[in-house]
Amino acid sequence: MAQSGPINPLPVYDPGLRGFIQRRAKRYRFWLRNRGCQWKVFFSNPIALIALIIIAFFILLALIQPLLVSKVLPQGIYDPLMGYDPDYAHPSLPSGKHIFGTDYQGRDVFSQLAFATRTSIGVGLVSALVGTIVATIVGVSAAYFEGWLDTILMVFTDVFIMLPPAVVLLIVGLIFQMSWVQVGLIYGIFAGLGSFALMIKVQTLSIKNKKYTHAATVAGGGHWRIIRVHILPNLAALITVNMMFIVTGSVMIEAVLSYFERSLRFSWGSMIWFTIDNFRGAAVGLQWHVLIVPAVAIMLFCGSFYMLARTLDEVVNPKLREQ
Amino acid sequence: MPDLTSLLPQGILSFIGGRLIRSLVTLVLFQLVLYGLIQGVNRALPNDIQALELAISSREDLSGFQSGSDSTSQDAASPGEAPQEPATQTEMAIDAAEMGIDLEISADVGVGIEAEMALDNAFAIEMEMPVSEGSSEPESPAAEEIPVEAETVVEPESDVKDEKTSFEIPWWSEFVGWMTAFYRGDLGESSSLGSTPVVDILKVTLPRTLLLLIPGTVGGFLLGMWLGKRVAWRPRGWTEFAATLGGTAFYTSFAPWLAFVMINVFGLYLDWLPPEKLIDPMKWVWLDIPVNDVIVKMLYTLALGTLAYLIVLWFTREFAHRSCVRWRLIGGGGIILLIVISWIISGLGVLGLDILVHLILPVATLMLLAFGETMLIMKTTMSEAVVSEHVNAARAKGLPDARVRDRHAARVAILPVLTRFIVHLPLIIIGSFIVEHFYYWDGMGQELIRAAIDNDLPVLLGVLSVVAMGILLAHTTLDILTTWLDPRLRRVRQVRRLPGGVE
Repeated sequence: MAQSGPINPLPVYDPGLRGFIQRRAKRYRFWLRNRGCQWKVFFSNPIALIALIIIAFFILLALIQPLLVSKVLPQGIYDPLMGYDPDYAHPSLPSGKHIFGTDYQGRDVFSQLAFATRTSIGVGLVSALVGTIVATIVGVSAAYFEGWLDTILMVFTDVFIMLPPAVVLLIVGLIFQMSWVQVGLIYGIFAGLGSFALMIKVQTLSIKNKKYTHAATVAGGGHWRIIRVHILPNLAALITVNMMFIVTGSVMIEAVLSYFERSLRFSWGSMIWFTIDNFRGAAVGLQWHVLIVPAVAIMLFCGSFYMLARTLDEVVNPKLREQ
Repeated sequence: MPDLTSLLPQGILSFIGGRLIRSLVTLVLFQLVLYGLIQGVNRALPNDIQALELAISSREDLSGFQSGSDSTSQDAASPGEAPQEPATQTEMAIDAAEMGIDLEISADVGVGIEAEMALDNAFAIEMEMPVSEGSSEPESPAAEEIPVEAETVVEPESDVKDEKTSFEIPWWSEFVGWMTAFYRGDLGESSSLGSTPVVDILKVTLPRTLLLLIPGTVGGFLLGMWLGKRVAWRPRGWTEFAATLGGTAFYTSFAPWLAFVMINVFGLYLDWLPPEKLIDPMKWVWLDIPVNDVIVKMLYTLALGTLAYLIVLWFTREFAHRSCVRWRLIGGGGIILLIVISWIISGLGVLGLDILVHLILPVATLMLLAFGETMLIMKTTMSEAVVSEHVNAARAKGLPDARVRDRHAARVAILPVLTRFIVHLPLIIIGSFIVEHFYYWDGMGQELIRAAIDNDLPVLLGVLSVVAMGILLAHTTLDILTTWLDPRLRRVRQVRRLPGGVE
């Protein structure tokens, strides 16, 4: 068979720094060229943008809270646990000085909200990290190294599907007083060993049977390289989506726990518990403006993570994108 | 109606068989994990009983050492026959705390049935006890209440306890004993409710929870499916936006807060419905009928009514091609009329109505918590199915619009919804527990929260196992349902279907 055009010479693999930089630059150029095609869907959705802004607001609030309380604002008035403002009759409605009002002890509700945000974001972060790591290790190793490892890991997965993290945490958390790190750890482990690991395993199986993985195996790629270069990038979308579902669940469960537990861990749930428990049947009546702030905060935070996950799901799932 | 002849031999039977074996293996391993969990919690818990046992064992060692006999633990561990004479006052106190219940019971047995005599004896024995420290005092109210019942319950416990606490039995043998007892239905005794068997507690509380959970969950699922179907079928900007916003808001709303708002608005402020409790006691005072009888009858009625309506659906689908909705309405109305008449005839109509009225608000709360996610996913998958080719073909065939929507588009769209719903189920169960706690609905959830605060491990174990069985049942049902709904899965089943629509 006669060649019509010139034959492209095989690119010489340059292991040095120059070759490394060249390869990176090529990859970056490729990324720049194809940048818009998927994320256009993402950013054309106004709900996803709003969700991103809300999450960024909460994270910023949690980060600047210690600075705000200790340096910027007068400490005696705006302290989340001990503050008292002598200028107002408490509980006071929202005003210029206290944008969400104060509760019956004279504490500023916005300051409390900022303080409680730190716990919730911490729990969400820890549980998402731990759950993702556990689920990825279990799922990928079960799918990639088949055989007895697969059998054992899948039996454990079946068991942990029957032990949902919400129920286990409700029991264990009511018995023991736990810090937010422990709550996040337990939620992450139980969520990661359950259906999340099973999802990752099935996705990995379908990637492993694709032709480019076979080609990489034939070309002499090691296990670690195939997993790192071919499998994990293709799993990233699925992992991110489920990570956000874990964040939603763990923040909700932490709020429920701190509602029932009456612990020292200050969170949105304990704010609601304070209000409901102290004002029910009291002479001052129910302070709806105090009650509604943490409830709406939970709704906004979990809802934005949920909507972000759903939108990401639409972006990365080609079945849903075609509409 | 699915074609049973093609369905049965190929798919379902072998599938159910394989699933059953897998479930059994999973169950045994689940027991192991549960046992480890409970033992770990038990170790970590600063328990009064454990401290007492520690004190007793140390005393036994000490007395054995003093008397000079070689085999200390063997002799001292044999319980009940001849308690050694206590030497000092503190030993007597510990002895009293240990033997207090046994002594009272033996007094009851000796006297007979008369409660007064038994009470007198119990008091007499307590008066004779030389030192009344804090540990022996809490026993006295238990003796005052119902001594005859206490005899039947407590006696086996005193026998089992010594066997369990001895260090001779290895953990695996203990585990096997525990597991066989578990499958025989012996879940242990509650440590905080006067040592009531856990099975009895579950027997009382489970029907109440089911009466709340099943209508709430199924109703939420159906509501979400219906809404998502309608919204996606005729997409308009504002309906879609409102549905997304409302669904997300209800799905992520904090369950205690939602229950509190519902109670305050509909129960207290508007005063439409009773805001709390299972029953109105004034209607039950003159009738000698247990609440659970009525609740179990309501559950049976629910199951039979659903079955009858399914049969009506099947008949209308088979024989009434044109005016299917009319016949369905007639059939449903007839079933409801039949149920009402039978309840009136049985004489429990007032009581059933009382429970039903108390049921409305909790079930509405649970439905609001449960419907959001179903609606959102149904909307997404339905909008995907609307533009697919088989729906266009059905339209081109000239089928009515509703039929295309319900039978051709929705049947495809429902599969990912089902899988995601099952994954979401634990959160709904937690929501129902919280709803129970807020409406003072005496079900499993309230029992769970009470037991967790009282550190009542056997009850927690029982509730957790019931929840796990429910989840296992739900997964099995899901697998069978997907096999029925998706014909592709009947033939080749290599890859298990997964939550989130992943294949």
